[in-house]
Amino acid sequence: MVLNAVLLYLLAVADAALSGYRAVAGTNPRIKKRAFHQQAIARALLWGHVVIVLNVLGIMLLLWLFPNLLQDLIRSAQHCLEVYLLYALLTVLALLGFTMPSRDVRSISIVLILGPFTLLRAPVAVCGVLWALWHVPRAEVLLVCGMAIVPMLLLETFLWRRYKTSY
Amino acid sequence: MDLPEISDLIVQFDPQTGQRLPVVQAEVVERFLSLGSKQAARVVAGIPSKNGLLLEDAVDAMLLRSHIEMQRLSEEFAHGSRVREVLLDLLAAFRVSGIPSPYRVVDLGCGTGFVLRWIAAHGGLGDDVELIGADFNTTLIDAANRFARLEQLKVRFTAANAFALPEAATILVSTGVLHHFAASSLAAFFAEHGRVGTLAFAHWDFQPSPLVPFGSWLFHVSRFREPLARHDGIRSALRAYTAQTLLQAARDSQAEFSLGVYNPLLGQLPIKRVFHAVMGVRPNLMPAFASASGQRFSRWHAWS
Repeated sequence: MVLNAVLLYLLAVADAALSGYRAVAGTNPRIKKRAFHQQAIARALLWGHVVIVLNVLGIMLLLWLFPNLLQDLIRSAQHCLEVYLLYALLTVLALLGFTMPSRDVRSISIVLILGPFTLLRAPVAVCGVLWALWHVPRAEVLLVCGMAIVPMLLLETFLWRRYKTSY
Repeated sequence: MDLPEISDLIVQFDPQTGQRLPVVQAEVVERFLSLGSKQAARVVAGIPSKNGLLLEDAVDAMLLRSHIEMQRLSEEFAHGSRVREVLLDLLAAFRVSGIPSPYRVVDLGCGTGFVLRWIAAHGGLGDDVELIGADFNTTLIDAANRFARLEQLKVRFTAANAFALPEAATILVSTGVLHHFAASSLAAFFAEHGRVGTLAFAHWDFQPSPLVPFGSWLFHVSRFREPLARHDGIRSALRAYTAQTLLQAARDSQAEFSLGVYNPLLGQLPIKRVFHAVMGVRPNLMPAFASASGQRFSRWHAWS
């Protein structure tokens, strides 16, 4: 249970960080902007943790209301991870390509893998929930999953709207 | 008929004076509808207007946002690094051949000047090299100069015809510009290189391939938010000319250059790159260029 919780937390943190990067990508015309990207990622991590804390509070409330929910949540988390970890693994492999010294490998990683994976992010998030519900068909599970993925999927747009700069 | 890009129609200049001309919104919307592009028509219809004319400030703001967003494409495809690599070899060839400095590298249709700003930020070309970006659009040029000042970069941008600068370019480069020219005007474009005494040119653009329609759509949809950037980015890739067309036009121009395509394939694999460069070097400088390029000269595919 603890391992699954930690894995979900790490996935949420990684997703928030990447959302922070995407939110500002293509908005700053400077050539050297590492600090700008670091700041954007730090901001996203902060907001991501706000979402995580709210989720934990929500889950605690539901567990108080439905004491028998815990086992179902543990099982559903396991099934969500089956989908999300595969996606995360492929994303990490693409990011490894991005660190290669070859300019061509970097470009190919970005264009052929990271781009399509960004488009697949929302469907994958929904698939994870559907996979969990398939195994644990319970309204409270849907509620917890929804509380988790909806804000995460909206985080990038939120950050872009809130922090976009005009030049 | 070829579908134009939105930015081709919402900004019009008098070709003689370079003055900005008013653009009738309904005419542009109608043009796109008649060409079957509801998406482009919607974008143009959404631009603020007054008395039926597109508001220049709104158009410029949209263009600027789109260009900044499109800079991402240049960053991810490492255009700055690719252009600098060729420039280093050309400049080395000029120095060895005793061509007097300063060498002026002019980026034609530079937009917000990413490539030259990148090169200026990373340095290495030498103190005897001037970097000048030229574009007709004053808004983009103003922005390019502002961005260069922000990072204290040694590069300048001017709203002018790159072929009509007070001091001619030693090397002319461009990125993603060639597809904006009509096929019938390409030869005249290349002829200008010969007329102004340029020693070499290298023009990068999308390389047509069967994967381009899907690849371009995927790239732009997954990254871009600005509807204009999305539309024009996808159209750019679809309108690009083959190397054969570009080189034939360069040949027809009668300008005296050794012509070739630079780096069209992925290494030794028979896989086309997304971008290729059409290059021309004065024939007397080719041996020095080949020598300066070393192993990289295998990327040069001569055309005869």
